[in-house]
Amino acid sequence: MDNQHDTAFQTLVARLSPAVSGGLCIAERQDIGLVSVMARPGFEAAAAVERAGLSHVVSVGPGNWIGARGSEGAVSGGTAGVAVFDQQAAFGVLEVAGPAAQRLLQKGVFVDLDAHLATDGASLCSVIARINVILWRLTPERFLVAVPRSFAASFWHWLEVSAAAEALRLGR
Amino acid sequence: MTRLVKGGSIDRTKPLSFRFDGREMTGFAGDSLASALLANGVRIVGRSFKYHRPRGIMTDGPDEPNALVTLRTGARAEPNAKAPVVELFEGLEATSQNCWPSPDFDLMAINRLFAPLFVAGFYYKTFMWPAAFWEKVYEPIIRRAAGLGKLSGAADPDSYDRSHGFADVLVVGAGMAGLLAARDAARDGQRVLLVEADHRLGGRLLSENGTDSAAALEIERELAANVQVTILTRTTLFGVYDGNSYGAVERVSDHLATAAPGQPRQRYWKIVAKNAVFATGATERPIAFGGNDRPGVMMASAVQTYVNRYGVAPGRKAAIFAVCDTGYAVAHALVAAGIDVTAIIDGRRGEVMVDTPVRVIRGEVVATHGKSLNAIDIRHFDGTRERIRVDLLGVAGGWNPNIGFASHVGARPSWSDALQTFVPGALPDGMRFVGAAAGAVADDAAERAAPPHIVAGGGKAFVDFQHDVTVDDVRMAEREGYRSVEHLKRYTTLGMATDQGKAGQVLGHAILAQLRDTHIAAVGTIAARPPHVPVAIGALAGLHVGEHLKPVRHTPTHEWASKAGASFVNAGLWKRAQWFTAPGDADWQASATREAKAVRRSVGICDVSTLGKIEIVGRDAGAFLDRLYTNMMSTVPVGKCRYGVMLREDGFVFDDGTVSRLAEDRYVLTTTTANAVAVMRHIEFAAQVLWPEMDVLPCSVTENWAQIAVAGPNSRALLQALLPSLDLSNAALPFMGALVDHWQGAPMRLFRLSFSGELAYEIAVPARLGERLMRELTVIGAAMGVVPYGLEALAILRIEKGHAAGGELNGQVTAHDLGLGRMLSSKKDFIGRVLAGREALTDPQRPALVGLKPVDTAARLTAGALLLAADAPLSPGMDAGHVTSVCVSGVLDQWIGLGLLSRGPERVGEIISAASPLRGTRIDVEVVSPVFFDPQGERLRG
Repeated sequence: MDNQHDTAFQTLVARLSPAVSGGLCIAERQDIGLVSVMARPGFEAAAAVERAGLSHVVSVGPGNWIGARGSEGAVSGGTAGVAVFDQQAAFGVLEVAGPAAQRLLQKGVFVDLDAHLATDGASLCSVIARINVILWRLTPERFLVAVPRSFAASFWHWLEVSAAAEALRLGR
Repeated sequence: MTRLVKGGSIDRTKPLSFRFDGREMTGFAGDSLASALLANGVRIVGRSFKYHRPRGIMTDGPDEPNALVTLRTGARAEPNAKAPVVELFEGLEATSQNCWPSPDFDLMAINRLFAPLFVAGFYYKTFMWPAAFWEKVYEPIIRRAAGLGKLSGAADPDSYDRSHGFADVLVVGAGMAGLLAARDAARDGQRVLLVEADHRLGGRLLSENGTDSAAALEIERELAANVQVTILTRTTLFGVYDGNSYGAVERVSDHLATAAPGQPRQRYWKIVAKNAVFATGATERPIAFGGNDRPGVMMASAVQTYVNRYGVAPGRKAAIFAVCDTGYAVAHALVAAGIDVTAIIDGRRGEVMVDTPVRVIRGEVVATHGKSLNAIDIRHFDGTRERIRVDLLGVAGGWNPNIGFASHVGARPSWSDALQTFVPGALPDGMRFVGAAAGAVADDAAERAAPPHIVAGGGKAFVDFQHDVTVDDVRMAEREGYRSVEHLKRYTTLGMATDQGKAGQVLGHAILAQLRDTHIAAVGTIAARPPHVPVAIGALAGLHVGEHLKPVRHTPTHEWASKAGASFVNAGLWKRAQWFTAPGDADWQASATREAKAVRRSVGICDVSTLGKIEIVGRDAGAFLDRLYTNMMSTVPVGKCRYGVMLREDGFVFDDGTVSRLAEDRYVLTTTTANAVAVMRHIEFAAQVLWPEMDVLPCSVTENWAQIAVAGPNSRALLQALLPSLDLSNAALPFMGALVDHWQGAPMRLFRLSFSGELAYEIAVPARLGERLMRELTVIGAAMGVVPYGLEALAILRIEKGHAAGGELNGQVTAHDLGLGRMLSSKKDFIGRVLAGREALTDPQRPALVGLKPVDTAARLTAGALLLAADAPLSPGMDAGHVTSVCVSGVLDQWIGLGLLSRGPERVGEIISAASPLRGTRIDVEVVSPVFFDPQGERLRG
């Protein structure tokens, strides 16, 4: 079975040449499956998230988080006090790596990344090119960007145009 | 050529060829277009707006009112480029504006004969008779004559980028004051963003020194070495906004003939800085005297720039008309460059103490002569007059600090008697003006202070040069009652040109004060508003143009559909397959009809992933849904679906869709594509604000699921082949049943729902498997003749069944109007219940849903057509409803439609008219039941 369009960015990333030194290395992280986790009223929020066993947790609203459970673990359901909603296929998660990765992302996001993604593991929700995104900093030169799947092509357009404007080569 | 043999910071080893009005010329790297034109002896660059007076280069910056040119050609032609701020590049092409055939000989100068007509506000008081001429003759002529320069009319071939800057300190302007502010902040460990409009740092130092300032270079080096400092050259701040945010444009490629591949022409910067230091310098103020607009009359500071920075002599024989000491420094710079300075005419009365080798005349320039300046008339203070022959007159009329940015955030300027200028008043926290922008550089305040100077008598004395506003215009405005600076501005257009009155505005206000016999502080000045300089709309739009105006959303099967021949239509941000062109299809309608027939005959598949999908979890989920929907949802058993209608608070229908119960405490509901976001917002409001005590957690899962409708008599057979291990019989999965299982190891949901009236299902799998599912259904279904169908076929199928959709769910219909009154439960409360019972909403006369069938089976029914009684005239108030949706029915083989008709259900069988005034058609139609096909619903129960 031809599955070339299974993930949001699969064909787009496949078109890239191998990354060059000083450029940006783009990869789609299929190993990260996202879930929405919501705390039921009366349950303590942090404990709820802890029980859900998430990594890469980012708060997206009152009592409302998005986090990763790994591609195998993303299922609907929940435990006491927590409701879990499968969003594994809802997002394409790109890893953007390179010395200019933060500079590129800063072009898109109107939040001070020096201040709000100052540490490894930090995350935030914002908008790039009118598309809701979630950003995580893995290291000072590696970031994750979660993009709603249906917007993948428009996000990719921003990525390509913005990188070119800064004379940055995208590679995989 | 008037290029000096030495001097300036141009690179004489790099000559650049350019053309002005078709003439081949040469400049050097580092030249501005203005300096290169002067070096090539060009004195007249264009003609003035109203009077077509010859105009030359007057300034050296963005305050230039006269030397406006059209830069480049073809689609890249940019009108009203200010020659002093255009960097010269190889191959530059510029043309003069507002003149024909040339700026030197302009036939349009005939306008000057009518000058008495073109006074301030002339369009309010002339052209009054005959009245009928206004619209047909006068206004078209005025409109044709108005405006400067012409747009290319072609699409902009360039691209524009966007970036964001964050800093502790934003420094605007890189003259010495800005450099020092940036250095101090950087040494203090602050994150600094320094923006400078020029391509070089140094500001006025570049004009005053002629060579690089060692001190400035040292600071520049220090800043460049500091990773906390970002320096943006060729970047102009254009606005200050709330929340310490700022807008700026970086001219990335404007100094090049064309941008390099992938490179933008300009980059829009949105900046946030805790503190901002404005080292924006000052603009030299003109003096009002007769003929002060003649080519060769130039601001003294500009003369200094052209001589020192560009090594150009703007004239051979010069005079300086000064009312402050800074004019003397310019005279000395000219002398040092070997230019003959005949005299300094010092217009100040009283004692003047400046040491100079140049002849000083105590008096005023009252007139100028020549198409391009060749002589000036001077009136000595003792009353005698003198004419001296000069081709360059530098005007030093004092200085206006560039404080407009403070007004952007509401800080009003205040007048300083000591400095004789407006200075920043009370500033918001974090905003500071330094250097010349603050009123003066510390040690030369006295040298620069000069009251605005107006010379009595003489010819036309201009105040706003670009808009041809004269002293007499200001006088007339005051006489006619326009005595506030804001009224003066609007009546005379003083300060409303592309230079926004940077040079002449304060002079105009001083004249107004004089006329009102009051102090200029009492008259005040206008509040500058952004943008500080003109900004290309393209820079603000960035990449959001054309097909990228808004982001688009692709369904999980988009790529597959593209290859399968789909044409797409916008549904909000979504691209939805409208129809799939197959070999032999004559047009889109043939495709849609073929697809709909295939569904009725065998089986079709359609991506319905765009429907909103919201999961609601919690102990109170059922009770919560009861309050959202008009009908009961808490009683839906696990494994079942129910159709539901939501009302708005005002009682009108909001949205419709299905609710499926997946577990005791978990439901999934669908919304229309159009209302997916609105319904989610509505639900969150209800959960968080109306009933926070309820245990309900709503979550949008629209993106996560691909949902494919499988419809037609063979839909069960197709799905059974796809899912051989499942029992899909009527007994196991009846109409409105739902089941949860797995497909290819992933979660799968199967709903027995039908929008088409056929035996039908909707199968949902994770979005990443959507395309795989579509491919597999196509392969498995090939033997059954499965077809993909798009929105047009979907519309045919649902119109044939009388299902309401976009055309009917228009925000103005009630449940009763749609024939859904029985769904308004009387056993419970729900949002919109009370107001749905309003008299007007239950009026039996209201238009209600009906089917419509042309009596002539060949006639075409059009959506939007008005419905009238058969014999009623087509006139306002006679319509009794309208046609909401139409299609060519495959099963009836004619146009049919749905409509909202007053007392519609009672009128079934009546022949009425459907009239479309837009198309000029009127046909007879029969009112019928909205359900055209299988009224008993036997097919969908399969």
